[in-house]
Formats: sequence, C-alpha cells, structure tokens
Amino acid sequence: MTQGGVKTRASFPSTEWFEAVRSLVNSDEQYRRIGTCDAVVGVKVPDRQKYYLLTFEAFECSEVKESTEQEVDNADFWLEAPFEKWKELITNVKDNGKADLHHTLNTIDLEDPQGFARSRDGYKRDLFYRFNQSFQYFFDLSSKIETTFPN
Amino acid sequence: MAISPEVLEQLRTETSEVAPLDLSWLNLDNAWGIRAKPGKRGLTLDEVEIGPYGDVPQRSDNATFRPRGAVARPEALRVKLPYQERADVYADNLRLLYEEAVQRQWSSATDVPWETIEPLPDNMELAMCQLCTFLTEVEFIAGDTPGQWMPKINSDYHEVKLFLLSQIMDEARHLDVFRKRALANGGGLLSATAENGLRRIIEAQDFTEMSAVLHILGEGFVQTLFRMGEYIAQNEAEKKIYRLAAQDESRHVAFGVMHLKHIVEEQPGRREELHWYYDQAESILRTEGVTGAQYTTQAIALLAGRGDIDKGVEVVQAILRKQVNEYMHRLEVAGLGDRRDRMSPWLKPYLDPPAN
Ligand SMILES: [Fe+2]
Ligand SMILES: [Fe+2]
Repeated sequence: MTQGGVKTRASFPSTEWFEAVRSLVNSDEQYRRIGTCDAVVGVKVPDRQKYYLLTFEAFECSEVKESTEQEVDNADFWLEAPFEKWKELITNVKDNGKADLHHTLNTIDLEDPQGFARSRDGYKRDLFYRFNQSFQYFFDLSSKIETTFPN
Repeated sequence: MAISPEVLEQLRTETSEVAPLDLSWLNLDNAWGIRAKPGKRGLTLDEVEIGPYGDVPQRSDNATFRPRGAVARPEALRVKLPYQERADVYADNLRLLYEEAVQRQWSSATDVPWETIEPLPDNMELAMCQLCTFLTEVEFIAGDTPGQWMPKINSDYHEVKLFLLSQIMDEARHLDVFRKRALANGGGLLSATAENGLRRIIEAQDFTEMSAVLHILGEGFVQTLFRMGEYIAQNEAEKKIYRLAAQDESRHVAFGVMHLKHIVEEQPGRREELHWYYDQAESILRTEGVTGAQYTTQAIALLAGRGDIDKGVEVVQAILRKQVNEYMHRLEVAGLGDRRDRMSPWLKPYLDPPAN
C-alpha cells in the first residue's frame, strides 16, 4: 500500500502500526464483503509491556488505541503472544502476502496450550472464531506495510 | 362444452356486483407512524423491531401465522399449538445472530480456492476424506434437527424461526462443502458411522433439550473440530473451508449459550432437567467418541501428526482438552457452572482447575 506514493512504514508494536492497518482495512471493499464484525479485541505483547485495544464495528475497524493491561483484560477477548511470536507472524504475512498455512491466527491459537485468543468469558472468546475471517484479513493486510521491529 | 343457462346467469350476476368496501384490515391503532431507520449495519431487525412491534410477549396464544403486531382474524385456521412461552425458545442475541448470519454467508463453489488442492500422499488424502465423510454425515443432523422444530416455534417469536432458518442454510453449505472436498482430490467418500450420538440429538423431545445437546455440546465440539481442520489443512482451500465453517458454527453455539442462559434465568426450576440431558448426551459421546467412531479419530490423528500417528494422538488429546474446557466455560456463562462437579467421569479428567 502506498499513501501518496510512499509505502507506509511503522514499527511493531505501536499505535501507528495498528492505525496503518486500520486505515487499510477501512478502505478495502473486500473486507466489507466478509460481513459485519463487532468485537472489542485486545492485543498483548507482555514482554514489551505493550497493550492495545482494537474496536471492530459493523463494516470497519472504528478505533485503535494503546491501553493498559487491565483494560485489555476487559475486552471481549485478547490476542497474547511474546514479541518474538508476533514478529514471526507479521514477518510471515509480509513474506507471503498473507499468513501461510502454519501462521494463521487459528493455527497459532491451537498450537499454544493457553491459546493465542484468550478471554475471561467463554462466550465472548467465541467472537474470535465467529469473526475469524475478518481478523485474519485484518492481519493479512499488514503485508502492505513496511514493518520494523525495535530491538 | 356448452355452459348451462343457470351457470351463465350466476356468473353474470357475480361479476356485475361490486363487493361492499371492507376496511376491516386497517390496523391504525398499532401501526401508523412507525418509521424504522437504517443504522450502521443497514436496516437490521434491531432497527425494525421498534414500538409495539419490538415487544416480544412473555406468553402468546397465537396458534396461526399472524405476524407479531398484526391484528388476529377470528376465522383464521389454527396450526398445531406451538410453544406459548417466550422463555421456552428465546435468546437475547437472536436478532444479532440472524443478521450476522445473513451478512456472512459464503459460497462453497466460489469462495474456496479449489485450485490450491494438489495431489496428497494416499494416506493423507484418505484420512482427510474420512474426516469429510464424517462431517458430511453430521451436517445432515445439524440441518434436519432445527428443521423439525420450525413448526413448533410461535409466529410471535419469529426471531427464533429466522435464526433456525439461517442455521439450516449454514448446515446445507457445510454438507455440500465437505462432500465437495471429499470428491475433489481422488479420495472420495469413505465410511459412515453408527450414528448413535446423532440419533440422540434428533430425538430430543423439548426445544431446550435439543438446543442444549445440539448447539452447546454437539456444535461446540464440532466447532473445535473445524478449528482443528483448519490447523491440519494441507492447502489454502482446506484452510478456508474450515475457517468459514467454524465461523458459522460459532453462531450456532452462541445461540445455544444464550438460550440456555435465558432458561436458567427465567425457568430456574429446570436445572435438574438440564443436567439430565447432559448426563445422557455425555455418556453417548463416551460410547461413540467425539468423532462418532474411533477410526475417524485415528484418521484425524494421522493428519494432525502429518503422518506420525503417535504425535497426532497427542494433538488429538490436546484438542479434546480444549473441547471439554470450552464446553465447561460456555456452561458457566449460561449459569450452569455446577456442571463442573457433575460432568461425566470420562470427561472430567480433561477439565482444567476453575479460573478464579
Ligand atoms: Fe455445520
Ligand atoms: Fe452448526
């Protein structure tokens, strides 16, 4: 994705990175066609003490913001992995244009005994599966961003 | 053939007579002035069920197809008496789930990248086809079961009918997509199962019994199986099939959880009855296994271990652990947390300690 002829560059994890994906998603007709998606999704990168909240509403991602761990604990569900795992996921998406067979959100979720998607509420956690194609599409679109990873 | 003069006279008089104006259909008390407006998601049921139309009666004597909000005609023919209590069939997420289902429909013909399927080693192809045969079989029950409950849903609770109809469409697509996968790469349909567990679902005598067993236990376990299918998928086509099917399945589970919650809150006296349904269903799962037969479980293990069956058995055990814990979490949300102590002894060992 180029914005004004320049590739969007952002480091992960940061609000700018999620903002860049959000703007890609909101201008993507294909994303709308997947159908409505309503959920408040947390992101945790615990070893970097970084926490974010992504709000999905109807046909768009309406808000992304940096947050506290307590706030993320109250999201419908959150995606949690150490920095290196996030890096692997995002790099894989970048290299393939989308997640390959071994890096889809669902596959990462099943490989982790604790789960990649976690929640304090078993009903709300199911939103991860109910809207899985939309969330997968969201992260796949990050292939259009030049992501940098701080040491 | 000639028309008799009497019939001719009768026709002449009938057509020349103008029927007196009948305005008894006008329902000005209720309807005039209601103007539903589309919201962010379009004109959804939530937007349209407003004013008196949105009031879902606790009890209804409607034994006809009179839509909620319309005036009854005393001469209307009756149908077999449907459920009369809202609590018996309702859930608070029905409108949302129906609209979500309509929005998120997909086509097994065009939304699956079938061209990504390539020849697989024979054992892997056969194992995937055995799983798909079992899933096709399961989808018959998943569609037939809600179908047979349709006439028992009161027209005043049309949201339940709409949701069940959307589920039936989902199950039709699942039935066709697993059949298509089995026939797409040389393996074909393999062995059906004995179907004891499936019989238990379709023979439920009460709507809540059906929902408790189908939506929460059966489809909850199948939803995990679909996620497992995505995990073991060997090409993009299978990935997409299982991911999209798991989405659909999650809506069915979501209805079950919220319906059970509704029952536990509105009809608390039914707890023992609910446990009895689960006692029966859990014990049948034990006899048949979660996949209807040991041979299907072994096929899944072969796929999960990428050919190494011992490794695959470990994965299958880990998945069973997830299935049991997610089942328990959903029951906790519905207010049936005491199932933890009463769960069948064969499932209990898979339970993690309760979260504080
Ligand atoms: Fe299904
Ligand atoms: Fe289903």
